[in-house]
Amino acid sequence: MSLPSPLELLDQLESEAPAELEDCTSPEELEDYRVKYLGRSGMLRQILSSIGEIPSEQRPQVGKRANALKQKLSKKFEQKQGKVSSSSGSEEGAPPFDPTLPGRVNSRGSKHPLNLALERIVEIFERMGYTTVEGPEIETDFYNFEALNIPADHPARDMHDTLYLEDGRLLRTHTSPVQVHVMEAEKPPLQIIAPGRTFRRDAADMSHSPVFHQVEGLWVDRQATFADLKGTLELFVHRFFGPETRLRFRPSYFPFTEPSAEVDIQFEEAGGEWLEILGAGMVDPEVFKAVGYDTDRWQGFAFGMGVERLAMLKYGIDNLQLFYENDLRFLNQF
Amino acid sequence: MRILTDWLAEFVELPSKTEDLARRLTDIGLEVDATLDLAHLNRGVLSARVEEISPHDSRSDLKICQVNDGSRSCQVVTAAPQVQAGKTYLWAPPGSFLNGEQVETRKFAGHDSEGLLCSSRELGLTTDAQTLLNLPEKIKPGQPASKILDLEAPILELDLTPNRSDCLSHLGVARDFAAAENLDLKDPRPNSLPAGVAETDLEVKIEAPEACWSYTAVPVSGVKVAESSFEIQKKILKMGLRPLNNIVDITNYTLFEVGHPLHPFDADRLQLPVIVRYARQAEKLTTLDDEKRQLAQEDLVIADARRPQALAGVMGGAYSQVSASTNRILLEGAYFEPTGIRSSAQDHKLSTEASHRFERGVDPENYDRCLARCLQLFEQDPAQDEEQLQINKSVTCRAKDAPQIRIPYKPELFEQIIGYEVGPEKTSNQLEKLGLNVQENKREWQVDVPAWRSDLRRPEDLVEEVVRLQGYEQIPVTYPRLNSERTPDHEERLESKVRNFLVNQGYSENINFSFLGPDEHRFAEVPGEESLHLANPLAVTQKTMRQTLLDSLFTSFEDNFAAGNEELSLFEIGRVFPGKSEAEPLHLAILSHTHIYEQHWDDSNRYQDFYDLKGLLEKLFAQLHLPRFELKTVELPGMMPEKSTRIVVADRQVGKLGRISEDLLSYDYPGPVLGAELNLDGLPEPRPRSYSKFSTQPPVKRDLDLVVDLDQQVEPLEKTIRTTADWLEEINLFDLYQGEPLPAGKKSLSFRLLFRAEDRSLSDDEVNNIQDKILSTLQDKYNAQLRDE
Repeated sequence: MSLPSPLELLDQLESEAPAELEDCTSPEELEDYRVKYLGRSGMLRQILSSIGEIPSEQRPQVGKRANALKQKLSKKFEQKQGKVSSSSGSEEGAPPFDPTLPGRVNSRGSKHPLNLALERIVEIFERMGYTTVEGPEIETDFYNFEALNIPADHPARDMHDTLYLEDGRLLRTHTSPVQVHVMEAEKPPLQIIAPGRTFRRDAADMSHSPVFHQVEGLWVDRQATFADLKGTLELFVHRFFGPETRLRFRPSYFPFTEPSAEVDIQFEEAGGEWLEILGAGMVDPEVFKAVGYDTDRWQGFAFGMGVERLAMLKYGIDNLQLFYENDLRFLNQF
Repeated sequence: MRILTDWLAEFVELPSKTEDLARRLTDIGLEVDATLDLAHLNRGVLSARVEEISPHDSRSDLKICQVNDGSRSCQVVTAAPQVQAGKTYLWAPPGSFLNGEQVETRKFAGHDSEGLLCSSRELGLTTDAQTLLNLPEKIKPGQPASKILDLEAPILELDLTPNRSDCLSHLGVARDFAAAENLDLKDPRPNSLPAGVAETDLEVKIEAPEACWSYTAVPVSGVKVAESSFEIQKKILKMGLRPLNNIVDITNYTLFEVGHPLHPFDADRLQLPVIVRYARQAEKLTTLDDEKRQLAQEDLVIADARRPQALAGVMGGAYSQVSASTNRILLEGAYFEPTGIRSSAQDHKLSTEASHRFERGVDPENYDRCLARCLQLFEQDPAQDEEQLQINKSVTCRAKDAPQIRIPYKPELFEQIIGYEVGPEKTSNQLEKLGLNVQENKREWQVDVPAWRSDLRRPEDLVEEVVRLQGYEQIPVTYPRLNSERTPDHEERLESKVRNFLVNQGYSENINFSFLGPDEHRFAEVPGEESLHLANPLAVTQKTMRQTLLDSLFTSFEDNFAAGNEELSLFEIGRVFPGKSEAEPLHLAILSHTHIYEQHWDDSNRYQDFYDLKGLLEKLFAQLHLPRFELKTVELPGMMPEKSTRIVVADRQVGKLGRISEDLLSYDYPGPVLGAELNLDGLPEPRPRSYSKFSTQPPVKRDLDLVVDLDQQVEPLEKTIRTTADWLEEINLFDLYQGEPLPAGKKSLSFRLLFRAEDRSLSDDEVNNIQDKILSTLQDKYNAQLRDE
């Protein structure tokens, strides 16, 4: 009986060696295995050193296979070694298995609370049938003011301390201009919400920021009424803050709605304090005229809310500046 | 605006509880922001006589006073220069409250001060500079401040909307409240101007009829200028103004009471006629606040024969102001058109009680009644000598009549807009109560609007009046009819997908301002001067619109590190403003300096490196179903030159990835700081999701160990392998090595290849052939060699 050829030996190793490794259960057996196959005078070494004995056309193939096998076995061996050592608690020096050691976690990550609130607001309105649209943050006087019935030299402009660009355009002071863009582009009926960043020339303090967020809503059809607006906003508030939240609508003034309302809420535990959360009203006919809608056929309501305000009330945040300081100790609470 | 409840009660009957009044006013649209109880806020403050004043030993601005409230004598240190011995002031003794703050004995420059002598500002009355509140001589020591100043009646702080100029006075608020509550209104105004004793040579001309519709001047002679009565002073103080003299105080009193701004000139300082005109080129005017103002030709002025004497509707001139020596006055009442007043006030950065009202629109018809009320108060002023004071014949110049507004109104409009019905009778009653005149016809009503309601122009405005007085709580709750065709139908937005992915990968979202300062342009590729700049930023650090998100994110990154948050993996999604372009692309920025695990107990942990962040983006692209991106090494601002890459996908440059340059780092970061920015709006469309069959045949795995030049990039090799090899399903680089025993200038790369055919099991020979083909191609193209043992 002749010695097996290197090729035959390789076949044998490929089929037997992995199985034999599986059977090893102790560090001693593993060491024997290592000597047998992977060691200095192990079987793989033997094959590689006898490569000169085989026909030259087979050499590259044998070499390749032998190397591949060696790598495969080495890797499996290391894995097995890990398993054997960590499962054999009795082994001297190895600590016993402790399931209470902390797991490997990467940093936890968090959505910004403003976006958390914003996504919830959008979700509530989308489920009521509104479509989300966005508009530019840099606007012209026309879209931000004129088309919304706020002519130049009107005291209503005092309600908007505006940041202007050097080229005469401005940073939108509210998300209402998105209404105008949508109505210019689309025929009624429509039901949209427009979330986004807004800007005012306000110094940052506990309740102001030059950058803030709003969500604007608009519903136009033949018979959308103030009563519908009331229902819509009541539903929103009950979904966002909980069904026990109380609402109060009171008369107010916005140049782009008539009649206008401000909405206050009261949490049961807040002890009677009414908190202003949003403005709303029936779309002023001037706004429809500016976009060419027939005011005899179409009417609608609009509302706008400050996301910071809503997020502060929902999460109990007492200082608006925290939103823009981005300290992880704040952000990671959400 | 402040409304004194005791003043309001002079004109209309009020509910007994102030909170009921506040709620009702809020319900009809006159929002009560706060209720001020100054008696409570200043409890314990009382009058005390200053008995003796001695100078302070080291500070010349301080005085040491002995004050006596009738029962005790205490030492008080004061900085008020005008304090006089023998006079009575308000004293806040230790333990009392001053505008809500408890007063204690404090040391001032080495001397105990038992409480303090109060100014009107400290009491929360005014906001002007600190001057001690003067009390009339009849006030005895030991009386509480709340009694002396009538502070018991609460003050309402009203936040009026700009359309309700008719409510900028006590009478106006009373009128609206009376209409809402169906109560009687007591109007303090006489019905007309007094006839006047004598003709004078007064002449009034209006040269700008669009800007000034009408102007009335009343000459009054024999005037005695003195302190106004304490009754007037108290009200003026509680309105937040400092009393000046009887003429000015009474004019202001009239303003707060009946709402029309009036102005008294010292008639001896005017050279007639009085002319209402626009300012001429290069004209100047020193106003009451002692500002010398350059007038513009758009400024409406009240001039005499020589020069402007007042900035019309905004502020009087210093030269013709009423002073102690004034003997004859000219009292002005006028209607100025709002927009002109507003632009003057804005151009001169001068917002006054007068301009605030004129620019919102005052009553153009009834200001003579306000003048009459003011003259009545002059006559009642105890400082005036009945024999001397003489009201002469007024002169009115009328350039334009106020238009009579008549609104056609269909009562059913209310139900159409609001959603419930209010009967025609109720509607017309409601409107009549507001002073509107309703002519009911069958189909369409005619409603005449009184001059003081300049905000009512259209039928919708009348709907608002009715719904407001009915109360918004009467409106039923219904839901709009859903238009199903219009309901949203779209996938989750890209922005949300990206946000959710990053949060799940352990990143924390930031939101930064959209503008930044000049030295914060660290990553922008277009020079800072080509950015968009704000014309009126609040601070230079908020002047420039951000071109990149990394610029603003980097600031909060460093702030966090400085605050002790050393494990940082941050991102922001937001719009950026590339200079000149009108586009506002949505970007994503990432900055990280963090271990791959939160601090861990074994040695498997390490800092994230370039390839971790690259891997994150690869995973993001895979999840978004986007094609694979490539990185091209290119020097970019803010990045280490050798680790600065452009992200390219489908031939578009969509972002950058790199290690942040050490030059930018303000702190000693123990690990690498990595950054990436992606233009989310620039990404290609995701590949459509569709099924393609996969093979159920067994795979053949082969390892390929190559030796290549050290500077050989991996991606071209990988691409070549992919294009060369048939049946190649997967390719995976699992080892990279350089050093012994490899020759210098070389490295080895180990790929694991997985082959599989669709229809059969591949034979060893077939796979060997492919492998040989790969190898020879790589040899030719990249001089790659098989690594031997």
